[in-house]
Amino acid sequence: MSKFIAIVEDEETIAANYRDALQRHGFRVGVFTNRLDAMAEFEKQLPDLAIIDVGLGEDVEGGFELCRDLRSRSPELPIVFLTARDSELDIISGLRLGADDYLTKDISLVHMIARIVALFRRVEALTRPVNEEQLITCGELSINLERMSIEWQGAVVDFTVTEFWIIHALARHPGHVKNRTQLMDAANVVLDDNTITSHVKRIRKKFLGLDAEFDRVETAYGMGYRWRADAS
Amino acid sequence: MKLKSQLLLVSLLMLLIPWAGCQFVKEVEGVLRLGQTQSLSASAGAIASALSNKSSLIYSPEERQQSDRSALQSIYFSALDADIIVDGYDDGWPSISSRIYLKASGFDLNRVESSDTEPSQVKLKAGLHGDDYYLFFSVTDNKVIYHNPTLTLQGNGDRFVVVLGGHRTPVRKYLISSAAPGKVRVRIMDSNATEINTQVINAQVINTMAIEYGIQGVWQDTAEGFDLEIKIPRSLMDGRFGFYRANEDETVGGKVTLSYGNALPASELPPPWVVQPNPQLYELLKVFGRGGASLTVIDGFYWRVARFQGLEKKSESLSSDKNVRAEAFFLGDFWLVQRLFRAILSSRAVVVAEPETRPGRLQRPEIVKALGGESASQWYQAVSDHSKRVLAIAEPIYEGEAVIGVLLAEQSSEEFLSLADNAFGRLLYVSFIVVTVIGLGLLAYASLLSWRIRKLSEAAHAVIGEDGVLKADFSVSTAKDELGDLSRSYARLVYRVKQSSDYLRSLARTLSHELRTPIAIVRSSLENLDNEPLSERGSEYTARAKEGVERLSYILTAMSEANNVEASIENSERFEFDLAQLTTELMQAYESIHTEFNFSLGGMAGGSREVPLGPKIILGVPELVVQLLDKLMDNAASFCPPGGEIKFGFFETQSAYRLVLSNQGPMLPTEMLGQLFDSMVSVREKTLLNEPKNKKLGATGDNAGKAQAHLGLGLYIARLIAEFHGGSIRGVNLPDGSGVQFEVELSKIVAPQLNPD
Repeated sequence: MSKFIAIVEDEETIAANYRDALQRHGFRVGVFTNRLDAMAEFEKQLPDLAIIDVGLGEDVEGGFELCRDLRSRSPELPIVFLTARDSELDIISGLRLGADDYLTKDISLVHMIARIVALFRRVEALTRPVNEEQLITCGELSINLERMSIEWQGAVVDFTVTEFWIIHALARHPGHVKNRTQLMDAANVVLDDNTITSHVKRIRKKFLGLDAEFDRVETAYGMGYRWRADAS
Repeated sequence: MKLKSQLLLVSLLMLLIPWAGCQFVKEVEGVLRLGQTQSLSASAGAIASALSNKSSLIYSPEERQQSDRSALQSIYFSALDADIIVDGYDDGWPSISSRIYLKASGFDLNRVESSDTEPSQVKLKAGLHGDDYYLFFSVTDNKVIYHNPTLTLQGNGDRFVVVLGGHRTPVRKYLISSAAPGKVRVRIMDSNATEINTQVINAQVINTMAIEYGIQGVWQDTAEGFDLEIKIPRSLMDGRFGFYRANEDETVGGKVTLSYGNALPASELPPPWVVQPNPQLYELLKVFGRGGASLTVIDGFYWRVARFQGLEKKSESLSSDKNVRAEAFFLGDFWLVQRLFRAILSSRAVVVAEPETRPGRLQRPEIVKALGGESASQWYQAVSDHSKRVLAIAEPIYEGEAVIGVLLAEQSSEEFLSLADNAFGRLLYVSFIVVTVIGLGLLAYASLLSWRIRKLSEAAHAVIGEDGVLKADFSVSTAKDELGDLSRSYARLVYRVKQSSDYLRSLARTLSHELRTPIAIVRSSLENLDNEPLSERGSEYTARAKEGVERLSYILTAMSEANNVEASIENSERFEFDLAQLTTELMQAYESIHTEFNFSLGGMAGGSREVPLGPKIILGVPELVVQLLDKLMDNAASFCPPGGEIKFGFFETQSAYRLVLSNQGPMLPTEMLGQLFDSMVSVREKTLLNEPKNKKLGATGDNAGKAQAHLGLGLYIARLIAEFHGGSIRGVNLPDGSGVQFEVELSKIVAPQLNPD
């Protein structure tokens, strides 16, 4: 049975375009133009994935409300924000509310679908046993490509998809400098340099939350970032 | 011209005050003159009427009034102060002015014979004291011929003949001649002898001539000729006096005798009347003359028969000590004030009084007029002081209907002039004070005004910074006048401009946000279209449309980048890091990336330290600093021609670190320097948004798409970052014109020593 994706988007044309694209990839798609319709539907049945716009017509922060509501119903449900708002504040609030990814509307359909597929893969992988071959270890870091999860010193660190891809791109070749464009390509997103910077900053912060001594993600000024290889 | 000097110039109009005052003082002076004229003519009229019917006093003896022909021939005997010793020298005679000149030629006084051959003349002084009449003849004669007693007693040599009598006594003639200098003998000429030809003299006649001892005389030789002084008692004089001089000269043809004087040698008529001042009349005038005016009585033949000299006040006597003088200054008695005043008044032309044509004879216009029966007045310039004026009033004196004489009253203008002087002095003093006070007041007010205007203009200047950015605070004036209004309007204007510029600044954010959704529609629609069966041409168009959307999307990204920087700057946490290490790494990275340029570290002109030594710790966000330098590098790389030079320098100043990046290439337009770091400002000439081929320098291949969408945000972001670090950024053209230089200053902090690890 194909996955059911709910699109909550006040702009009907966009919603229709996304719906068409997703349907072409074999998903079932439900489109809701406002929060209440979506809520009513979610009462009956939870979707497998929700794509939510932040601003829903008059309901300026309706997307955030909806996200909070959905997350309370299901902790595992992948939620993606797809919005025109690209301010740092909006991104942070969205991710804090438990969204798995925050995409701006610049993103191409192909990229978006790749993200969605990746998200589904992660959800599925969580339910399956760990496949050793999909594991990349780099010193104390281990990356599970299947589940798209990252462990540091044996503890799981919770990353969004974008962050995951960035860490993955850096850690695959420790010591190699990746510039911002390369990181963007790896994460399948079109972001400005600054957003990459803030992503990296957030990644560091998450590691630091686990290990106060963490200093592996280094800035190569003028070029990009690199994963510092183990000294040993 | 400054406002202050303008006002000062306008205040020169105040000089009209003293000018108007002068006009007023002139007016007052005119009124005073008129008043003086009226009062003087009134008193003169009164005196004149008091003198009417007193012809006996004016004409003494009264018979003189009837004389006609001989009136002008009369000799005027002025009153002398003392007796004169008759010695032939003119010591003791008062002044030279009372002198008659008699010439053999050219003079109308009894020229007896008309022969101009001799330059011979007589100067005559006549005086009277007590009962004696004195005469002094000063004779110019190139050849004095003395009386020769051996020839004849009568007509021999140079001689004088005096004719007396004819009033109560018969006419007598006296011959005065001398054989040598010294006392002369005066002989009575026989009436019979008068007809004798002087050339042929009978010896008998001579012998009969008696000597008159009553008349004394002394003859003295002088260089020019001789002097003769004689004294005649009143009893012999009998009211009439005439004389003639006989001048004998030897010529080629023999002896020639020329006679002239105011009596005729051959005539038996009585000589002209003697004119002399009348003491009784003087006493009378003295009574009237208390008022200070000079009073003169003139008879019908213009002879001055009495004169009372009025008292003239002297202002100088007042200012004896300093206190009085100081006071006098304010009252207008100060000499400078008087000078000034008189200088103002003397613009009126005034006649100089004619001197007496002959001693005792006054024939001035007003007198002539008064003798015609009409009172007249005339202003004269005083003889003694040219700034003074004398008023002369002539009033006719009547006897019955006939005019018998004239009363001439004269008064100096000094009296009322000093009054006007005072007024003028006060005027000058007061207007000086007023002008000074008003002038200072205006100056102070002008200074205050120009200070306020200057303050306003300074405030207006300060509101807009060098970079064209409005600073918030404009000090608003609370004054209620027009300047306050101006200040408030300006404040309002600044507020509006600030609002509108704020709006413009936020426009980018709003615009990018609003445009994103429609672009997403277009983009997603095009992508869906890819999955539909399309003709070859159809997919070509789709590809083009996609390209356009792609570019539009970059533009929006670039636009939002600025806002994201602002937001991320606000959320950034600062920490200490080593700026030296950062820049060193960064420059190495740039060097490896930008291989097409001649990249050099340091080498900046005047650089104190080219490459930083040791850690330079600042408090900030290294990522942002990197971004800043990236922007500058991007900028430099896109302007620098391939193979051109890009230089980087690191300097340390007292309070900041200065990073300098210069590149060869086109100069910045000067008028853009202030706006260079504003958002949405681009000085690139050809970088239009719709010109994809613009990227000619292509610093980084993967950045090519972005470079198309150059919105001039790079330097704006650089500025935001520099300001976040308490620093500044500026762009200047290199002095040699070869390119552009950007300077960033990041403020230092006093950092604790970092542990080297």
